[in-house]
Amino acid sequence: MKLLIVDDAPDVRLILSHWAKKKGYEYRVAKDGEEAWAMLMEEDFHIVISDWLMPKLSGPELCERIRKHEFSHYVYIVLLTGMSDTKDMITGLNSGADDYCNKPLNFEELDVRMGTAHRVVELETTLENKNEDLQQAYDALDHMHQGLGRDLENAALLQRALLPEGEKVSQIDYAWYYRPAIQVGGDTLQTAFLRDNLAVFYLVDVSGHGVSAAMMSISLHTLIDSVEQELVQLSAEEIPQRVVTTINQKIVELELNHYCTMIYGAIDLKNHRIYYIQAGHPNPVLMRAGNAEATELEGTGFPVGLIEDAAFETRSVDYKTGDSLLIYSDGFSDLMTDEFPDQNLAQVCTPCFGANAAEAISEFENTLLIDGVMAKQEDDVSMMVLNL
Amino acid sequence: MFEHEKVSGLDIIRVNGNRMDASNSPEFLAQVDQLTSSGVSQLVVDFSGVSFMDSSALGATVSALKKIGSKGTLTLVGVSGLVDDLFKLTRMDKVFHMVPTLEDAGLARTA
Repeated sequence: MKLLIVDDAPDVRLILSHWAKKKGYEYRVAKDGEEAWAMLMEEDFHIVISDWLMPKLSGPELCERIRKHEFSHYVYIVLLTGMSDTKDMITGLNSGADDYCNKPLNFEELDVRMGTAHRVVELETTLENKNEDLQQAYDALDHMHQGLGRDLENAALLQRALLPEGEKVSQIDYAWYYRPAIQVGGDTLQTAFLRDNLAVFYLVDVSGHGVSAAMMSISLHTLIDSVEQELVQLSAEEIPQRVVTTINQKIVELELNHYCTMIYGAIDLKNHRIYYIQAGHPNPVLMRAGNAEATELEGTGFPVGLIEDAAFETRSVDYKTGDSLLIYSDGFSDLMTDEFPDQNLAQVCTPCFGANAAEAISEFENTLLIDGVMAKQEDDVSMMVLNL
Repeated sequence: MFEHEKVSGLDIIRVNGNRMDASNSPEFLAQVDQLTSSGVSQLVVDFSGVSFMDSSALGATVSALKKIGSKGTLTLVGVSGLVDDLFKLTRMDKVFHMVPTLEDAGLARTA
């Protein structure tokens, strides 16, 4: 802790030098404020003991300069004063001095002042060290956070890449909307042509949302696709049962913390019939061409992966060209129930159906899933329209 | 959030608060775990007052059922409104023993 002694009186400089030496301080001496300032610019001082009245630059003026300047650490200033006037004292302290010491010098008093000075300087050093540690910890965390953010964004791209790319399967055109609650989500969907006159579609909602739900939904997507590939001999009617039962078994076996609900359907393109399983999932909405209002395909069903030997019921519905089918996750229906508490979902959706699926999804986006509504999103929102 | 008490020999977990979801489901399961490992096999869960349940909570309730196992019974009391809708949609009303009030649960046990 280097000390700077500033006084225009040579005898005071001498006395203080002896005292400082005796105390074991490293110290320098200046004979006026300007010289003191020059030394402060050159060397590092933690404590300054300065006289008040000095030519060129007074003690208080030196204080002001020190306070205005940004040194790399705190400089503790003690002003030596022969003044007994409180008002002058206050002015002096307002200039930025930490303490004052009366003249004629009383070394016991000076020691006390130095005691305080030491405490303050040490405290300040501790604080600075802590700040440095904190800054390092913060930088490390920030770096990791950015890394995670990038990882999530990449994961989101991967998840979206699984979603169907095309617009048409045979004579059916389809379109979808996908907005997870965070970058990745527990929903996934598909519409695909399986083989001659047979198409399949599904929308899966893994319980919960966030990263682990997303990981499960991605693995389910690939699992379902691979199971479908094995079912070469089965008819449209048999496929949903086989797929859903197999998936159910696999999830129960793996004892994952997540289960899922889904709508899984197989379309007999020749006979215009859809066979589907509603596995604990919100009901599809069917808009028949020419009808004034859409209707819900009501039903109940066990979720997938929750109960070991769950029995899934295959339903069927006949369609005509021009009919539209909407499947969605409860993230969507929950938002709609909040916005339109007096209407049922089929009523809310009816105006959105149009000439084709892409237009319908646009309508949903522009009229129902507007920013004000999406701001209230809590769960993953996904939906798919099939124009049959 | 989940209060356990014994009333006329019946172990009851009361759900305090109107939302059961991903944030409090683990706590629920921990409670059930504690009870089943200390030998409880007849358990009642009181849902009266719960107006919202999400998929994680449904999963936790099923896990509770599995923890109780085939040798014990889990009775759900007071499931109503949106929670009842959820149970019906997922056919959980066929899986769980559900009664309207605690009295019904008490009667069911002594029968």
